[in-house]
Amino acid sequence: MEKFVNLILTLTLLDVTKWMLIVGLVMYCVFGVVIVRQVKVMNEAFESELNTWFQIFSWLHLLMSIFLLLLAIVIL
Amino acid sequence: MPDVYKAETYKQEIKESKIWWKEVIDSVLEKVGETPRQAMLGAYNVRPDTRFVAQQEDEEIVLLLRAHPITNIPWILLAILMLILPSLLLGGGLFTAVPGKFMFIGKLTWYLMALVFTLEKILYWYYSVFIITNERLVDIDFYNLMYRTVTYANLNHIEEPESITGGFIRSIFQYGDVYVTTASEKPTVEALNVPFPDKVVDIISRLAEELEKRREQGK
Repeated sequence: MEKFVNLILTLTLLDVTKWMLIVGLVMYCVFGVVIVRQVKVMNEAFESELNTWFQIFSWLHLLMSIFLLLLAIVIL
Repeated sequence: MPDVYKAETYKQEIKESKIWWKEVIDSVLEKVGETPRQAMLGAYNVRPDTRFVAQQEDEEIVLLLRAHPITNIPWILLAILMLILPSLLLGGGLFTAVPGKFMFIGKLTWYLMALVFTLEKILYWYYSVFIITNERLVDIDFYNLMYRTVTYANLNHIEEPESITGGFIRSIFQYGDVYVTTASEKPTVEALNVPFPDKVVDIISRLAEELEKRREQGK
């Protein structure tokens, strides 16, 4: 309990910002998954020559958001 | 003694009955002066070579419509603003007290959000379509990431197609809204901001008329 209290007392504004940013990025990754799923649903709506490109783009976005999350954990 | 039944003739009739709608589409498009055309990001596609969800075997797309590309200008401007905003704020010295590594992650996050905002807007525009087939009207709308509505209206059940245009920008770029009243529970099917609304209404009316004629003839 004492350790926890000490940890809270030694927290700086930057530490709080760091963890808020990381939590935000985790949520953003979930959002990336939702986009991948949504593009799949949209692709089912009708066939088009751009379907594959949108799918690739949504996966790239998800990979970039995961990469950003890992980068934030490492360098912050 | 005359033949009561001829297998050859019967087969031929079936074959012809399966493609009658192609002739109907040909004649309607000829009457309104349209030829098949399709563009990758086009808002007005005539007889495009594509298929949609729940399309039947004897159904062909006559028109595939999206909102006019000019309607995308507001969010394109917003996306450009999102891209230049970090430079403007940093140039003003607003974040001088923030450590470099936080700035770096913050910038990357911001640009990724700008990217996904653009992607979302493109997806909503591209996949929200109004389709006219030889049998029905199909309105596919995406409102947000989780919400899609698909409305069908049979051409036999439509009553009053109408087009509404007006305003400076709409007149210049020739786009407007198309409303089709139906006898169903959901009374109106609408296509908003589509190019050449008068021509769209003309095609819907002629297709419905042709179907009605065939029904009267008992075909």
